[in-house]
Amino acid sequence: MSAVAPGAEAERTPGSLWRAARGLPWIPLLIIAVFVAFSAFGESLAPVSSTAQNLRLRFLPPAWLAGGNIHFPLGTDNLGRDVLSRVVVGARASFVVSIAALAFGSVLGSLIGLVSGFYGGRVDAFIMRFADGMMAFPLVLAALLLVAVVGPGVATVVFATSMILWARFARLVRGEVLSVRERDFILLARVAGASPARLMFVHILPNVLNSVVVLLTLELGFVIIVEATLGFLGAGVPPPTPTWGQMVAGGRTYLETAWWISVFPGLAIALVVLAFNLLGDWLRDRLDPRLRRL
Amino acid sequence: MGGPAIRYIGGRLVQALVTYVLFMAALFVATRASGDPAALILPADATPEMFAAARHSIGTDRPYIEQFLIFLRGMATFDFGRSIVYREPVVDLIGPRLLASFKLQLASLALVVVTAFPLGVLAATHRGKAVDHVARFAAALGQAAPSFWVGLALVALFSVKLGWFPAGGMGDGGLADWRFFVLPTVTGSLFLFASLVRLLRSSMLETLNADFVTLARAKGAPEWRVVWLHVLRNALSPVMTFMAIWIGAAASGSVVVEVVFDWPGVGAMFVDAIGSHDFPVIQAVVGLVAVAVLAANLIVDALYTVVDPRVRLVAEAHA
Repeated sequence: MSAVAPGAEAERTPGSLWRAARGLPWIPLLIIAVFVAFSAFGESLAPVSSTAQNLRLRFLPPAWLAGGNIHFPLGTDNLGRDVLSRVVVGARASFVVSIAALAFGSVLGSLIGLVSGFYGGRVDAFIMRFADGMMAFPLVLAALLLVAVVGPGVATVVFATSMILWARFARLVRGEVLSVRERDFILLARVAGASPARLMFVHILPNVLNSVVVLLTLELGFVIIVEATLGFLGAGVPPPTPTWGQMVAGGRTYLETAWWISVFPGLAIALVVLAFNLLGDWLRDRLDPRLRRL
Repeated sequence: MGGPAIRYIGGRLVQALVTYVLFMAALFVATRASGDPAALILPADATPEMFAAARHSIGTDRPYIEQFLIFLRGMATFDFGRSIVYREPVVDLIGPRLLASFKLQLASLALVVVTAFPLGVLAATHRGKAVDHVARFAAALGQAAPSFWVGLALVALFSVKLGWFPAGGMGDGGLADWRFFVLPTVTGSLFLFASLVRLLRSSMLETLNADFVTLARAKGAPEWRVVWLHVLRNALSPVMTFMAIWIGAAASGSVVVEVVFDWPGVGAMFVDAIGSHDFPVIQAVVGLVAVAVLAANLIVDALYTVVDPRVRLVAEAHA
């Protein structure tokens, strides 16, 4: 555009770019980048095959302990599989389930919140009460119930998680819509004859998207923990797909002799969730400081 | 609190009842959709006559509406039927387990209140100081580490390696067996602790800048009084909302903690029931949790009208 103010042009010097880059949360971003890379190319990045069993190499401790083998840096499990390779490959289940559940839950919840806040009245009151109920209902219980009814699988986990998630997005978006709805530009669009659908999607929705992005980032860590918890309880993505929760559960029996089977996958979960939480906090402070309560 | 507030709470009560019936309808449909309960009770080679007899005795041959009403009546009168696996009334099975879960949750809640409240408040009043950094670090870790993993790591360290605390079970459940409570209580309270510290800190920070706080200070109120009375009371609203959600989170948490520590509570029982498709037990647990969640929400709504005058005004305007 030609109408850019000269000041804006001057800000784009290498020095200011460096300053902006220094302010980014680099450590969380690095962890997330590694996580995404593991999810996308897990099989090729894993040092050895994650499914190769070698019963002569069972229960090898991590490489830095006595008896460890340098080819298996984080040790081997009860079937002689490489723990590091399984952690690398296990990232995918976490990633796919979390992204799918968030996508489904956030779109559904935002739509419901948009319509509910826009029209208001009794329907709005009813939907919000229902959302409160869904938010309060224990997620793990609901997911286990669903597994009992329809059987385990990726779809079950995604559906169960998004059933709770939508309510959080609906609440947030509805609150934002209530404040945007009365602003002058909406009233003007209304006077100009815009249809309700146009008002909602063209005029209001873009103004609430910031908050949705912040909530998405903040919820990612939570969803990863939920997926792992279901995996641990045997209600997650079923084997043979390796998942972190399943691996922690699998190592439980050998806790006395081979703690590394459980500890390293759990550490991976904690690191990734911590990274997403820190990134979410950073984004919220940048984009939408009003959301500090989330 | 006068007539309007009571009418407001009465309205909420009706809403809660409607929500409960809707919940139960969903539960009824879900459990009926998952297969014929008669098939779970009968042996694999049962004849059609045996099926008909079994359906008649459990009532699944009646119209759905009638079945649902019977189901609702059972839920309301704590008559949950018999466990398919244990062949005993569910009420008898669930009673002692409910007590075990309750003890553990009470211990966790006590630990959270004793630790999170002082830490959250101190972090806000000493913003940017060492105590604030400690609080934020602890909260970030507590929210990121999955509790099942924390539980196992604690067992590996304190039970297996150091031998200080038992790795599982409840003992007799009395005070003499306090060692059994330590690890499950710490594990079960971690996430709530982290969330509450964060929430309290940010809520206190907002309130500390309010005009009435400046006024209280200007009037010469001692700083401890300002912080612990004026500010804390006003920072409690979001905490109360959070406590209503906590009931649900505690139910989820108790499932995980009880499985990790072989605790003889409702959560572990629920996971077993899921594994064996023991639907009377599943229905009873879900039904009880739904009641607890709705009751907690109602109590928080009622407390709001007492603690927060703004809500009282809204209540009176709506009544």
